[in-house]
Amino acid sequence: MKYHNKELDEKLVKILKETFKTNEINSEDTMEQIPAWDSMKHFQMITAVEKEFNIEINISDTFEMVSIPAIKDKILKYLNDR
Amino acid sequence: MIDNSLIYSHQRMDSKIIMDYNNVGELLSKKVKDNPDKTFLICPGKDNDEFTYSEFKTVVDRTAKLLIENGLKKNDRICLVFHNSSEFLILYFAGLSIGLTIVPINPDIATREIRYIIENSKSKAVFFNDKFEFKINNIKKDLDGIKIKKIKSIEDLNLPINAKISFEQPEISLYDIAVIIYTSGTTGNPKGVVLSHLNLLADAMSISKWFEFNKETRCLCILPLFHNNGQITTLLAPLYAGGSTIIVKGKISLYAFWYLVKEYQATWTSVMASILSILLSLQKEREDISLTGILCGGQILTRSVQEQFEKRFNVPIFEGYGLTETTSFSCINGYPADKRKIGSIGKSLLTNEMKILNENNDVESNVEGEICIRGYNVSSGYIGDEEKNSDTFRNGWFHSGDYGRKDKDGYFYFHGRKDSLIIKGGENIYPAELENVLYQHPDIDECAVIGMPDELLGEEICAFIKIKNDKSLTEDELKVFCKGKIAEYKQPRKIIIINELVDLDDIPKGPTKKILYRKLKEYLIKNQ
Repeated sequence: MKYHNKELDEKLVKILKETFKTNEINSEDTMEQIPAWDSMKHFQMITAVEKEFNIEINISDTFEMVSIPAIKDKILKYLNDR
Repeated sequence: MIDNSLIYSHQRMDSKIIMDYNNVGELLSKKVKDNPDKTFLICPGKDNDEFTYSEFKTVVDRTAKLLIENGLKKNDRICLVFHNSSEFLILYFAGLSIGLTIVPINPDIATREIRYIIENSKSKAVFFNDKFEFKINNIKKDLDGIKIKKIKSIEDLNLPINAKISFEQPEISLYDIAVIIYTSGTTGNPKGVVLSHLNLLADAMSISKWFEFNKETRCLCILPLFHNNGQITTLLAPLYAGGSTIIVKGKISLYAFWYLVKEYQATWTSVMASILSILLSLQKEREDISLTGILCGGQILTRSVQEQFEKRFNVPIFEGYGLTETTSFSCINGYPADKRKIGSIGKSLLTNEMKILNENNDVESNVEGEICIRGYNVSSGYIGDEEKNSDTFRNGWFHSGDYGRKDKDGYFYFHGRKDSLIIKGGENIYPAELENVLYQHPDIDECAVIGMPDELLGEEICAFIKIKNDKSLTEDELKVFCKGKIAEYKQPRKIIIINELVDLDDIPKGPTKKILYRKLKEYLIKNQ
């Protein structure tokens, strides 16, 4: 399945809002700017992304998924490689 | 040999221990000499920084020179606002090696809390990771005369390539202050625990010897380096043996825990009990053959979690006990694994002594009393708090405020806290911290905050609120009110509005009107 940027953004923001239980998500936010982003939520977020986009993320890639732009980049990489 | 005239009575011991080094900088220098090409530090992540001992020392020396060029000199204090990173460690060792005092700050606490620590510690400079610029910018104008330096990468800590890095090395003794760690305070503001080079070296040496660390030891540091557990057990203790450390930002570590252990061949790690529970809940299995043991402290480890974890992952857990005031651990269960007594927090370390006291009197084996500690790893006291110091450090002992017992074999057992401290996932939270925030709400008449049992974190936070008669508030409105005013991990999980209850009409208090937190806990457990 091909995703348009807008569709990907919408799905990702929905996941982040649900995971971090906040409506205040900005497209450039980093881990440091979202107070609820802790180790458990990081885990839940990655699991939700894998499920939503039907991808399996290498653990070494998860180290870089510490901001919204970085998460988006990783998702795109996996979708394009498929 | 330690000069007893230069330390407090609660730091003296009956047994005499010879310290191998005079300060942390000297420890690093000696190990660099012994193992220049050996890996010292691995920082998995985007840049995958890796340093041999000599590479690390070079960048530390260059940063030390930079600090001196910025006008910092021996006994000055500097705040470091970083998550686990190579930049934090370079500044940490550079500062210590020229006699500065390091004040690490948890970047996740609220901006006003960061400002309080900077001001209370009388720091001369603040170094922060650029990701926290949005927080530091909010307080910059209030920090008159304090140097503020944003650090984006190691390059910001380096001198120009052709710069001379020689500088005059100040004399640093075991008794000089090395770090001040801020921990939750009973009055609402955090209190600064003063730790000397002796404290750090004594605790690191004890842990290193306890587990027979050697040059092949490789510790995985997933606990924050702004706390002592991370600094001592997984950094200075392996350094003492010439080993290595893998540092990871805590927030990304759990998902990758077993991957990190396998990929970097970690032999030891140190965790909170809640981390073991989380790892048990994940569908990820151990694939390494390197991990020898896990040190666990900071919150109660239940027998069921320990048994399940050891059975599933086939690695022994060594429970220990300590506080910031004892640098990190002051006792650890027996090593190797067959010397452990399951359920015990172990025996006192080489560089401290422990006993159970009841109002300053010794008690017999297996009789409950207060856990008291003295020795080379015990802090000299809290910064600028004479009242608390004379109450806590008295009659030659540090009185922990924790209750427990000691069996006839010298193994200690932890029973609980004397006061109302909440320990959530290893983080200490005093009720007053959240109560002070809640009292800022104009419609709150009274409030009290307690810890409620939580399977994963040990304790979660519950607030009892009494609203003013003609007002109305909901749990959600109050949660929103607290957001941003106090660190995320101190936010209340549950808020009970007393006005809505039929069986409790007031916050229970004693004859001196002191809140009876114990009664609220009993009420909560009864009604859960």
